[in-house]
Amino acid sequence: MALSEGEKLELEELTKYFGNFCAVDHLTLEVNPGEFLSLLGPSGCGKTTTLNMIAGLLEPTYGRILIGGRDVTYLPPIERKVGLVFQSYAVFPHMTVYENLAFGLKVRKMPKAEIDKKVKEVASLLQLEDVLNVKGGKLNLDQTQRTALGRAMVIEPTFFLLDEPLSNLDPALRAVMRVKLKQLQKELSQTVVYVTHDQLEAMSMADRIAVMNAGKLQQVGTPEEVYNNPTNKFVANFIGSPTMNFIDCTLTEKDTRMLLDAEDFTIDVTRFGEVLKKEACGPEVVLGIRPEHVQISLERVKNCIEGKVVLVEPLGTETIITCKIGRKEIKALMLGAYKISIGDRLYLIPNMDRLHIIDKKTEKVIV
Amino acid sequence: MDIRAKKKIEKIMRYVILILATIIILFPIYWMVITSVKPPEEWTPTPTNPRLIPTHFTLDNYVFLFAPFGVMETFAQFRETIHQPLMSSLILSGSATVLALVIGTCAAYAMSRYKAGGEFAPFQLLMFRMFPPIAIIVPIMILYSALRWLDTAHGMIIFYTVVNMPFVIWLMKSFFDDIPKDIDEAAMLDGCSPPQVFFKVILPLVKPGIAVTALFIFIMCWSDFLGALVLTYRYWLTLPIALSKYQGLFGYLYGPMAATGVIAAVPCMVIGIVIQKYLVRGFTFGAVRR
Repeated sequence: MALSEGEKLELEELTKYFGNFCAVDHLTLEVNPGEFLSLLGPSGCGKTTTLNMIAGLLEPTYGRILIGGRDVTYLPPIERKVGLVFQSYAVFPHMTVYENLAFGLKVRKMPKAEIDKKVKEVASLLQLEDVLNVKGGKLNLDQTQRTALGRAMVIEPTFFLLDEPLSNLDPALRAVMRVKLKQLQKELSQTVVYVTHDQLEAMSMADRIAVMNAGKLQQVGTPEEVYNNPTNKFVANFIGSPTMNFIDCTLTEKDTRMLLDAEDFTIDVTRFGEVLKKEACGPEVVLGIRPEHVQISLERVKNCIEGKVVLVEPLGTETIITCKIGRKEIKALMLGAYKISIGDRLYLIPNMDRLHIIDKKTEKVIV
Repeated sequence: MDIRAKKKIEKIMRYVILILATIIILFPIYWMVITSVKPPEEWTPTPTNPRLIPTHFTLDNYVFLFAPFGVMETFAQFRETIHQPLMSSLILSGSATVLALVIGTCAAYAMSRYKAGGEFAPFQLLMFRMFPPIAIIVPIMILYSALRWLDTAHGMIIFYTVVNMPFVIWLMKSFFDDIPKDIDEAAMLDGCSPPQVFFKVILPLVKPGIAVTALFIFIMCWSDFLGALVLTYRYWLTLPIALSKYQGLFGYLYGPMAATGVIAAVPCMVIGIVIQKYLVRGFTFGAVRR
């Protein structure tokens, strides 16, 4: 199916206020043609508001939206050529699938024969041929979703805007649809802006992820970048499952060595000394380490931390072990099944290359 | 007693109660229908003969309503037919229902989607209806008399439209509120202008709501007594007023009254049957999951 040539989408200082509440705060973002960009963030962080502004359903308070260099900030939705799939799908229940798909074209006053051709094309692409005469209200979830997708596709948009399209599906179907959506996007090399609060969806599907919180853009980058090099504590915490361990520490200097003092244990961070001296605002820092970057050992080794097991969560291929060190808890994610019981003593070895040191005041990641 | 026997008794009791309730509700209607086909001698039951089943079937009561000559000469002083009240009732209730629905549905949509009139507008409108009608009917009569609208079709239609509008708005707004805003936005993205969104997408979706509201408003207009009593006197008298005329100085004309009651029930029943599909189907707008 021929879709229109990709155009670049640019958001410049996009801001939206609802009364005194700032839903989107000076958002600047670029989406390249053919790119799958995921807007990721917790509920209420402004991602749907952003999407609605791109679609033209909401007018920004200030800022500009450019499509292919053309300012579309105040254009009505129909002139932007965007296809939006709603979280609720919003398939018209009183119309058949065929009528649903044809609706946008009919409103655009396209000749009947052409409408028929396009609808059939999209229907075959999305395997909707069998249900073309079924009313929207009688479809199952999966068909409803495909109809919503088809309705967005049939108008041949320059972009697809998807608003949590998978959040209503059960986990098994969600996994299938994730793959299908991604394949479809690559096949059509279609530009997609995909809103989700599920970091797994964003990580697995997106070319780039834009993490948002409280209306502000936190970080934009490839899934690897946001996972490996989060710029602040929010991103570090939001990306990854189970979530990163955070331990409040004090930075101290002893002789020529730099130490992270967590009261119950210390870690030698001399190797980051220079960066720390330059960047840190004060001695108050937070140590961040992902559970998958913590090794465990039954014997004492160099640079280890002694702990007591308080919780074991076997997940089949992986096991999450929660240890208590003094008053602090650290989670470790280990491959395979482990025969460890609650109360056992073991030694945790943090991977020094994957350590993050976060400034407690600014919440910026220093290392 | 074992649990199964207990459950069985419970089930029987439930049916007994339901059947009793149904009888209590249906008996007056049954009584009205049989009275309408009884001759005058059988209208009133006596302790020895409750007359639960008519022995002499007659249509005189109905004939009397339309041509009070030749039948039941004893009641010759009631020489009024119900042609005219029946027609007025149909015209006034029908027009007012349509008018109230058209205006009210548009207003309700504006309130539901654009918060027209402010947050409390629907409630304020309903408050207006909470006024006891008896308290405002006299001022309205004075106003109408000044406007020379008393006993006119347009006067009565406007009266019924205005007093029932709050219900239309209140009911229709709840139906519109049930339709997620996503549906409107999806239609807008497909290129619909706001009026197109309303007429092409939203209105077909609230058909069941419109049907239910129409029935409700029609019944409200149809059974109004006070308004018609005060604001009409000759040409636009309605059925409830005609009904009241069969009781007076010379006693009660139970037969013609019952016949009028049956005739009055017919339009409401017809509408009910016509829109039954919608009433039964209920108001589930299946396709949108929340």
